[in-house]
Amino acid sequence: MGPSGSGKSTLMNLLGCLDTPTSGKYFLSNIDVSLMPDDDLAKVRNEEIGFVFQSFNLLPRMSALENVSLPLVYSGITKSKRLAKARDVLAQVGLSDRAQHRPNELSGGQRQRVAIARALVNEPSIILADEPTGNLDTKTSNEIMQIFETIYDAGNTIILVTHEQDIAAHAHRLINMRDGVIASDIQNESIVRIQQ
Amino acid sequence: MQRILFNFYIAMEAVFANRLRALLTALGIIFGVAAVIAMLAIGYGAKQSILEQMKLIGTNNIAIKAFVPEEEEAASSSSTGNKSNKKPWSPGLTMEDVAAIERVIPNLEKTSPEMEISTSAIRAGKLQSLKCVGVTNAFFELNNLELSQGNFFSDWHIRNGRPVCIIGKSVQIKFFPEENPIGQTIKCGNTWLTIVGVMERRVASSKSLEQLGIRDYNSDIYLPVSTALLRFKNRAKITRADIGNQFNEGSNTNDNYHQLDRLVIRIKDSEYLQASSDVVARLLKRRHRELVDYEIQVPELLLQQQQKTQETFNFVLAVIAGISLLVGGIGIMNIMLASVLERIKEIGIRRSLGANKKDIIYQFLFEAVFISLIGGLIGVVLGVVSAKTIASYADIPTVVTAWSILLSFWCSSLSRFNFWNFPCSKSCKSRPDQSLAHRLRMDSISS
Ligand SMILES: Nc1ncnc2c1ncn2[C@@H]1O[C@H](COP(=O)(O)OP(=O)(O)OP(=O)(O)O)[C@@H](O)[C@H]1O
Ligand SMILES: [Mg+2]
Repeated sequence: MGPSGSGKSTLMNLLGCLDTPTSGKYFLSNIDVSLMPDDDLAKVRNEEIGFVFQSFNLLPRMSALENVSLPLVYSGITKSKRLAKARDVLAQVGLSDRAQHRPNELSGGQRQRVAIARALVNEPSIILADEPTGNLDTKTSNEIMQIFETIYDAGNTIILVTHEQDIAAHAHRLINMRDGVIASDIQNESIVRIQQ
Repeated sequence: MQRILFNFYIAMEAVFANRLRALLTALGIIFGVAAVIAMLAIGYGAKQSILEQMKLIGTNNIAIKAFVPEEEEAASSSSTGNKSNKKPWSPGLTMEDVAAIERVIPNLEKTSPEMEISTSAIRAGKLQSLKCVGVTNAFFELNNLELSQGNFFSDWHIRNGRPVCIIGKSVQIKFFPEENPIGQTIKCGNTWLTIVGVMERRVASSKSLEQLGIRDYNSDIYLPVSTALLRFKNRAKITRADIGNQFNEGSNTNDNYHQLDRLVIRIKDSEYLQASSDVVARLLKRRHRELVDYEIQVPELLLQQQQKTQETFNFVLAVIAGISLLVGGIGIMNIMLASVLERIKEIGIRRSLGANKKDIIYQFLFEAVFISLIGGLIGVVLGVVSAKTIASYADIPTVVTAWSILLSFWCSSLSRFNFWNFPCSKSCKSRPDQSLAHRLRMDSISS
């Protein structure tokens, strides 16, 4: 969390290997990715990281199914396998019946679920979500958070940026940012205690 | 490979999702390629026809054509001149002129006098009006005419004015469709001529014949000029019949006083072509008593002039075609740039999902290649069709050559490549942390 301009998205970019730091190092699974060439970074993004954006960022010309299968294209998987896998993941987010629809035929919540499915399809270890509920109403936001809970339970790390306290309340670790630096980094006692 | 295929597929999808834009892009290439092909075809066709004419007239020739000056012209010149109203008298173009030219011109190779007699040929109940032409063997040589049968005239034929002839191919077909004409006789006017040779068919477009003032050789009968003068009419000699005619009919019907109708001179060295023609002009003027009743042409120089203009014309055409191709290329570049900028967001998304630079490059490359390839193909078809249309409507010979198609195709692909390269390198070649990094970052994707 943090006020606007505090560097949340910037941090996400670094974590997602979309950007490289001017100074300092970034170790991902004990590998220094800050000096990697572009091809390797593309590979890391493809295999280790899933992105979810505030404005969904689906490709408008493609169906939901094709959108979800897109990361598999770049990891070089054959078409039939791609589509099968994408269908599975779409089922996980409860959108099997919308597979052939294009993004503009889906509601905001459905679009975000497609985007999540796309982030999940390559079984990444980290999911980066930059204000994923920013464009959604409270009810849909809750549904989306529900899906994130399930993903978390399946063993993924989820890094989520938000401005809303009740969304932040889902997290196990709360990082507050201010002016480009981490202001506080605390355990979310309530959740951790419940789990214990 | 799979990946490249997928990129290809993506590119196709982008093209077909935006058909109008693709068409507009391709238009530049279509017209560019079509223009290049059509213009090269026109240029090449013109060049071919000049070469064909060159071959027809032979090289290093000077042609002298006799004509009868207009009556009024002669009258006016005599009235202004402070002389009696007798018109100036010229002996006409004669064998003596030929002899004089042979004496005077130093690097002369050959002279070929021609004398035309319009008459008709009769044999075995068939009648055809045609031209009997009195020539020497030099005629065949100067005009690159070959015999398909028989021989040229022998010295004996020429010296003695023997009644022999060489016939054109069309004449053979008309009078001797089956039998061998060699040794047969044919009646021309009032004279029986023995056929000693048959000419090879000369193929030439009627247009270039007309342009060069050359007859259709195929339908003529050729006989030695000495024979023509001896046994047909020698117009240089005034006979009793002529005088009678003049008195009877008042204005003479046939006032052509030239012994020869045409004289072709071949010079050894093309360097002296113009100089020799000047000398011939002076000589004839003197011999014809200052009366210019002949016309001197150096067809080769005329053609060379024509060729030069044609070359300039071709150059201009090529430049125009090149510019249109360039404009087409710029059009592609423009649209590719617009589409890259427009699709920066898409590129960002794809990059975030694990596309590397190559994937993005392939996608846009395929798009550009596909558009320009299709455009190029349509352009080739259009170019060939328009070349043919121009040929049939404007009566300009056009020759579409394979290399012009290849050239225009190559040009279009080259321009496409360069023009494609620019916008694409703008967005793809930079690493994410460099100038365009901000476009690939999360917030620009989400904004
Ligand atoms: N640690 C940092 N080092 C250098 N620049 C930074 C840093 N943190 C933030 N910035 C700059 O601050 C600007 C805003 O940062 P950023 O977009 O990450 O804010 P944000 O927290 O995502 O805001 P919002 O809540 O509006 O999305 C960016 O231009 C970024 O370059
Ligand atoms: Mg932000």
